[in-house]
Amino acid sequence: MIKRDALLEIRIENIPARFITSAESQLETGARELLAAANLPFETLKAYGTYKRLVLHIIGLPGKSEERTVKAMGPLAKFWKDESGAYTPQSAGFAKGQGTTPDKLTIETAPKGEVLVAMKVIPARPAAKVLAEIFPRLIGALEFPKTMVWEETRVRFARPIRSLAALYGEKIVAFSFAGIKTGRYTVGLSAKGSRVINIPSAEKYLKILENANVLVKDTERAKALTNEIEQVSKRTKLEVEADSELFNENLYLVEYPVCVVGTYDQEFLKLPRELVHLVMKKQLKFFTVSDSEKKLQPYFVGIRDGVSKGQKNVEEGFRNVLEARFRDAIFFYERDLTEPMENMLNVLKSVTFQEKLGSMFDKAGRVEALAGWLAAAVRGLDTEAVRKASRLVYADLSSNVVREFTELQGIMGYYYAKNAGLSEIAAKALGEFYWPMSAKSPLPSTRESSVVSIAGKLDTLAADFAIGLIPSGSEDPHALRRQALGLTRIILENDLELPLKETFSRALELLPAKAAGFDREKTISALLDFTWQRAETLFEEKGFRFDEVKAVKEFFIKNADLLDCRRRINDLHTVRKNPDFEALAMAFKRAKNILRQAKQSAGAGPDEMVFEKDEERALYSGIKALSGKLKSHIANREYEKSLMETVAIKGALDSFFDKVMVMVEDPKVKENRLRLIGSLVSLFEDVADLSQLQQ
Amino acid sequence: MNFQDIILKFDQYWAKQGCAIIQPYDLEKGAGTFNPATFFGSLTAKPNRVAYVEPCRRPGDGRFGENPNRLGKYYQYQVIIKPPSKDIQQIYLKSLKAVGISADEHDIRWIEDDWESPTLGASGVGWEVWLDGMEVTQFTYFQQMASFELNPISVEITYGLERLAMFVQKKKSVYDLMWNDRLTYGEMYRTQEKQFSHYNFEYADVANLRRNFDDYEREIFVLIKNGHYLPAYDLVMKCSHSFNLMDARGAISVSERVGMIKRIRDIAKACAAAHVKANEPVSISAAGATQA
Repeated sequence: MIKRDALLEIRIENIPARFITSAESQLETGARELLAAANLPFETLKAYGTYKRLVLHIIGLPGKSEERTVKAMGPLAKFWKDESGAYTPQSAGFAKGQGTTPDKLTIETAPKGEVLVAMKVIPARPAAKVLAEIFPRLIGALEFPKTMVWEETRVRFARPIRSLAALYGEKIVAFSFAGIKTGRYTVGLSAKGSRVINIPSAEKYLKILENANVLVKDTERAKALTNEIEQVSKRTKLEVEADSELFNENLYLVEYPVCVVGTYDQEFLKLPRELVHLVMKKQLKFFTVSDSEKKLQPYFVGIRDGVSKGQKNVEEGFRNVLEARFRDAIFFYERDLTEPMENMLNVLKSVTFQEKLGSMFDKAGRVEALAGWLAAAVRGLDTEAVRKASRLVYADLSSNVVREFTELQGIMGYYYAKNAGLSEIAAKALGEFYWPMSAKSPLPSTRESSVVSIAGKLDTLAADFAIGLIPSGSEDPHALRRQALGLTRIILENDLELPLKETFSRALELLPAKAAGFDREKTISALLDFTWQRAETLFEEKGFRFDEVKAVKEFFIKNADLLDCRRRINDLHTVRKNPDFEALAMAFKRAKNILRQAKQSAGAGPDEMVFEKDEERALYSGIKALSGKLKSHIANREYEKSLMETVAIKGALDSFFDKVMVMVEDPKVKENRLRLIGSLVSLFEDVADLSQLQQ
Repeated sequence: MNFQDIILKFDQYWAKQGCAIIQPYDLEKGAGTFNPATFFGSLTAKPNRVAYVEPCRRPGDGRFGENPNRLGKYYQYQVIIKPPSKDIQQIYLKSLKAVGISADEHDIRWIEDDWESPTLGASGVGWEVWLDGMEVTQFTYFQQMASFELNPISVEITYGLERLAMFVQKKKSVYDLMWNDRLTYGEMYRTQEKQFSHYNFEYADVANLRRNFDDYEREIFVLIKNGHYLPAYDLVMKCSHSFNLMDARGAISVSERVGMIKRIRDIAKACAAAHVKANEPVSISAAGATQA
């Protein structure tokens, strides 16, 4: 049988760049599943996408699906015929349902006994018919981050579908979707007026579009874009700065990439680099250009969709838009450079942070105080830099540039600080104040920056929790989760010995009178709990198991010392590799359960006089021997050593559980044995709650 | 092409597409979407094709006549097509041709921008259309208006006339635009921009504005009870503008903002509900409820 290709093109109105690659892989996965289920084999298939078409190309499909016989199990064999030898209604019904007759049924042994079996033949079907069922299912199953409705059938899709081309070989695969009937036509480049293009066969599709300058294949388009950019670098003898995110975005904004290169006025290079990048890359999607020393040059590279006609218009237009934005920026920036930062700070007196928490100026004062307090606790800091910086962390919020480009908060603080004569370290503390910007972003790069950054996060967390603005579900307007995660990361990466209970308490003390009326203990608890949840995530990311982390939680609640908790988890993690320890931990868990069931709490140790069996004495002797050793290990935070020592008790404990029954009739003996177990449990409890460990 | 000619050309073009060329609504508003022709027009099942110039006020955007690109008062050209035809994108591109902009001589880009108006409880899916890098149109398929799921969908095409004119006339400052052969935009509007910026940022009476907002809000509910949702909606627009003015004065704190926006959304929704009830008792349903 001759094999032919199949093609599905969903032509849509400009679909967001970020939707496309997922849609492509959904098409591929979905198609494989549906073709297999329909018994229609194929050689290969691939999906492609541009901003106006999603394409599925299947290569090497036979004209018919494969015939297949499927076995169906039916009622019990005894229901095949009645006493007179006639077929029963059950067997007739079953046979009919499987498309056969009762005389063709056979008998097989199944778990429930002997059953009737029908062999259902699923006949071969023409590929075009099979595809006519598969294609609309594929389209309907596509998922997008956001969908919309646009016509009467109210089908939901990412953007309006305007045509559907579906072919098997030369034949149209006929179906309808969202009010559109399939056909054999598509359109060419938007820049050339989206002229109608006829597709004689599935095999010819890609070539025809390529001839019309539509690069449907993502990889080919990427190659073309890379080439274009390289040409620009060669022509200008400069480097177009690589940016894979920007590259991908542009890749899905065009069907035929054409570079538009232009220059802009040198004077705009006075602007901070981050500002230039924000305007050019984020706002206008242009590539920046630098020389061999990575110094920014006054060139822009925009990517146009198709045709080189009117190139001068586009270049001029791009330059006008770019320069207009730069002109605004320079106007604002130069104004800001003449404004003393103290003035910028004073303006914040009239900017509310939160109704009960006062102004941003008030917040700045609290951050300054907290940073000073923290700086005294952390060794080896440039305290002068911390003092100067912490005062001005929010000053740039009232600058013209940050009011216009809010993403530049902090960043502009750096430049204004340098301009005002602050040291590099102090200025950096301002620039890195909001770091990390996301879960995996860089942390503040110096200890000074870290302390200032922490001060800010502490105030925001304490203030919001005090007035009950606790994040829930998707409601987290002040990004408290990010603040807490940043706080935790900074402490752990920098090994900062910070007693968090005191620290949060300090932050709460600084809050204004209007925010008073909160329960201090409860709030600190809530803050610690919130912080711990973030720490849990971090520890698990580092490779610690969730039960190890859980085993240490109570120590955090008690001592609020992240570094100490990390040490405990780490040591527990190491010691666990020892098989003896794992078994011991299970025995410990069992011991704890016994105590819980007997509702026994920690109390005095057992009375040795009441012991009846040797195993009790041996266990208690072991416990006493260990007790002293463990105390000294724990005092030195040698958790691993402490845990390893306890392995020594395993023998005595196993014997005890083997030979001794705890819950005996005699209350005195029972009570004593429970006390014995209690003293065992307390051996372990100073490192971690081993009862949390799972196999 | 002069500013007034751009308007005339659009009027001609959209009239040819079957749009009723209507006049702007005579109250202060921030966008053409607030015009009853769009607000109420999008809510029923009745087909609707209208086009109109809409003067808009955005108090916070004023720049005292000093910024060549930013204005506190400007003109939108608003088109509503309901239901949208299959070739609506092409029809829009041809409208650009009508004012002398050829797709193949420029770079026309559709940048994802799902428009939302929290005060109107409206949302849509659509794009900013960029002409050689400059945004000149917002093209949106409305999905919801005043919290009602829409059926059929309306397409809203909103041109920023000053932006478009600057592009067509190749001007770097809005004040250099030629309105006709004799008058510049600057001659006509620079003083207005200056005085209104001072008013918006420095002199608007905040206490009055607050009082007005509360008074209008009260009146709206009384009017709706009596079935007079059209005059009620006038007051909704007044509330919205009062909010914009208070905002420009910096009188609305971060926490207050959310509450006020909700108040406007609620009064807008009340008007929409009354309109829907009066016109199509069995047709459109509020988001979530099933159709009667």
